[in-house]
Amino acid sequence: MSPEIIRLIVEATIDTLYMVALALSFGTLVGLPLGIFLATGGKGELLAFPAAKTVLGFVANATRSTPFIILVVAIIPFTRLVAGTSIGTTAAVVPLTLAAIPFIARLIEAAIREVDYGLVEAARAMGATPLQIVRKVLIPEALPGIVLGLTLAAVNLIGFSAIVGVVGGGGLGDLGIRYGYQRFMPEVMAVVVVVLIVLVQGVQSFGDRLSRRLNKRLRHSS
Amino acid sequence: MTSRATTAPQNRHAVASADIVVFDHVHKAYAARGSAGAVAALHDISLSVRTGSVMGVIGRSGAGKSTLIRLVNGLETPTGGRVLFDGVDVGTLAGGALRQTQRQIGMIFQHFNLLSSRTVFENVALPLEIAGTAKATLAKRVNALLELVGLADKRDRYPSELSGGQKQRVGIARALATEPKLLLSDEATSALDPETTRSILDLLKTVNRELGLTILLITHEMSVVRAIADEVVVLDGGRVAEHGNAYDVFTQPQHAVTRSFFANDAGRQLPDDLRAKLQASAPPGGKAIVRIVFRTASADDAVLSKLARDLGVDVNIISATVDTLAGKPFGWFIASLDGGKQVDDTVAYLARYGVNAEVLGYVA
Repeated sequence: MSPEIIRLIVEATIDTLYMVALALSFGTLVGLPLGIFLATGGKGELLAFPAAKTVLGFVANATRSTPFIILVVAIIPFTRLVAGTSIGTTAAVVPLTLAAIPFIARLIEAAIREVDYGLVEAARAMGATPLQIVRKVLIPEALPGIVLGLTLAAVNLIGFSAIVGVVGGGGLGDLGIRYGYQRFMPEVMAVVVVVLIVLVQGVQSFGDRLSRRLNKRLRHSS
Repeated sequence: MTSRATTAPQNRHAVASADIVVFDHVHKAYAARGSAGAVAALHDISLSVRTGSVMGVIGRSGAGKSTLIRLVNGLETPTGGRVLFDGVDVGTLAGGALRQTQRQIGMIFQHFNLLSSRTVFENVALPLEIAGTAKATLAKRVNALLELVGLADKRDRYPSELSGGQKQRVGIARALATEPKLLLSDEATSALDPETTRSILDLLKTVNRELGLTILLITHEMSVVRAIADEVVVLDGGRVAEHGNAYDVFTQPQHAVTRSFFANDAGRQLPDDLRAKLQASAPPGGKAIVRIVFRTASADDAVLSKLARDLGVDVNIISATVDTLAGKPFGWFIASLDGGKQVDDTVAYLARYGVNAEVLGYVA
């Protein structure tokens, strides 16, 4: 393999990490509060605001049911507005983030719903405000589950990032298609797949370990 | 409700300041799912909890105990009547005013409800953080509370590393953190073994005595009420079936539900072989099994020997226990008597001496 190809692979790996890291960060920034609201906004729940919950739940579902490749091209004008350009790695972060938000929100909603209702009741009995309950009870207690959810989201984003090649997003998937497939270089394709496997493995085991460390429900936790 | 002449008069028409909690004709109905209409949980409850006392509410599951206790700290609101805490109608409070009141009421739970992500220290600190207590005050207060419940050496442990009894001690320390005027106990010992239950009840008693904290507890276990309560309320089907001071309710239960709780109380059970042979009606030549409850220790021997002399009845004692309740002694016997009319005579005879006898059944 030529040094040129090796350089391309290193660059593509960095591009992928860059896109995934940014999309995960922005996705969490919006997805976390959204997920908390989806878990607590229902009728008779902590932040009871059923109308808003229904609307946001619908928007989240609609975004998640749009195939990612369609989302990428459909929002090009929006991408240009946000990123200043519709082409390139930075621009690709926009559709990735948009896809990540509802996904992360649903995962966080599930993690929050796992928290024993007895804890919420205990906090209410102490005279806690709904915001205090979210901050001091729900988020800390759901944290191991939230970390696992974000791990899953990161792995999914690595997969999604392969598609943003259609808008010149770069990254490993794009490299695999352009060199491995279109230029008949199976060894590039093989390396891309191996790097992706290593990335996903690394992200997953890091997430698992972090979640286990945070989970104080297990006696053997450190 | 069965009225009792024996209930201490100061509990019946007490002035507001002496009662920390007053239920005034309280109703609670839940909106049912579908078209079934509302489901009533509590009917016309009127009760007062005297400041500094321990009131035990006992009832089967579904009797409305949980609802009753949750009305006091505003976790539920009544659909009728008023619940007063320290003279304030809790049901009308909302927002900051409700939270201010809630901070004056501690609560402990059957499943402890400790935060698994927080250490023992941090769990006890939670209500103080919520109330916005300054850090230095908070640490001092939490350490003192952990000392009080005997868990000072566990302050940096997580709940998963504690036994059930230790978890409930953390729960109690947490409930006391904001120096409440009232402690609500929601089946706090129901998940614990008998020995641990005893130590938790001892701790609650200590807290009641030394801090002068009023305790309102709900339970389905008679032994809990017997161990700790000054006053007993028996709840059945959302209504007060019986209410009085613990000694009276225990020694002279009036309501069938109360008696059924006695039957399940470990200390009052019949020996198994005898229970198996028990019949509802008297077979010819059979014997009656009676439970005789003495309310004062001194009367025991005299009455039984007089009974034998006056009626010529042979009282064959099967088992006997002497216990103290609220500082007063009481004893009970399980005895067999010859069947027939004699049994009624004996019960009537004993009643004249203020001794309560109850026919449990007959054996051949």
